[in-house]
Amino acid sequence: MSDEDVFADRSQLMADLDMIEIFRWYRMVFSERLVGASTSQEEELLATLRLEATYQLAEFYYVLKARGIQSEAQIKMLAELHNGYIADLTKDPAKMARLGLNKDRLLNAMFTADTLPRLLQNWREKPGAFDQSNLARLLAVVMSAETCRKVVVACADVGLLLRERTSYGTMIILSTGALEDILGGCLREARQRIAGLSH
Amino acid sequence: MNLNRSAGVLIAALISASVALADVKGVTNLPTFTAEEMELINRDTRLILANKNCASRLRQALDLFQDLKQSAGRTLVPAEPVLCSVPAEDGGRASGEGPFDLLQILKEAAGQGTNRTIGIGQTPDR
Repeated sequence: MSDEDVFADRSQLMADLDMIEIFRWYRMVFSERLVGASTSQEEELLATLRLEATYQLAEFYYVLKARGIQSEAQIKMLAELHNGYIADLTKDPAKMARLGLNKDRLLNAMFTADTLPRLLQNWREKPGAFDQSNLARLLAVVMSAETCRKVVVACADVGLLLRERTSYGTMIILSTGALEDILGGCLREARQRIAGLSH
Repeated sequence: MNLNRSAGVLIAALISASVALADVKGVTNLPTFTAEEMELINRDTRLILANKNCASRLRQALDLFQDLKQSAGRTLVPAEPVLCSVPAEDGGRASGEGPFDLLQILKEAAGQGTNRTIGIGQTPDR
């Protein structure tokens, strides 16, 4: 930790306070805009849109798009990196505890010889498409599978995601692009506000 | 009514008696259950549901049930209620590490940098 007295310089302090305000504004305005884009005004659905888990889902889709993760090879790489991360996590009980995860949940979050081909097949057939359970696997460190399902269902109900049942009985999730656009807009404005802070 | 069924009914009743209470949002230590308890839980859909949505309450109800079994006639002190009216939103993932790690994995998958070992307080790679 720095020895600098963070309260000593008044102008720096004011800029720091502005920064907090921008952080908070960013999360607030994201939820407001998401609710504004909703095709439903049902309170329970709107409450789900305001959850942190919904923000996490939007951030995932935004980063996928912004990082240009589009090819099947990149999705395969993502799954392999995810599996490696999960495997490392199972060997770190302290971090597992901090994340509120147990070994069984982590093992369920790994892509296996059965689920990895499905992930790639879905993506090959419809770029951007995830099986709902595979989407939950990728998001396992930020939300439970049940929360993921709840958030995805709410987003689909209000027109922010597409959720289609396949002939195999599985659920395929596709983004309409709205989550990414809304988050990206909020992020850009927040960054511009931060850039405008005096030092 | 057999023993397992009556146990399930009683435990479900103990949970519903405090239906307004649910797991603490942000609590990271999920309760654990013995193999015997899991067998009991898996026999009753209400208990399965309780395990998913309100595991701490289920843990307390099972503890209370155990007390009832072991000390009939003794005055029971109910477990301290868990103070929360909002169900756990995300299974207790309260740490900021998960979202940060996920960003690093996505960056690496895109071939735009690899630094998942980065610690809090370090500047992320561009």
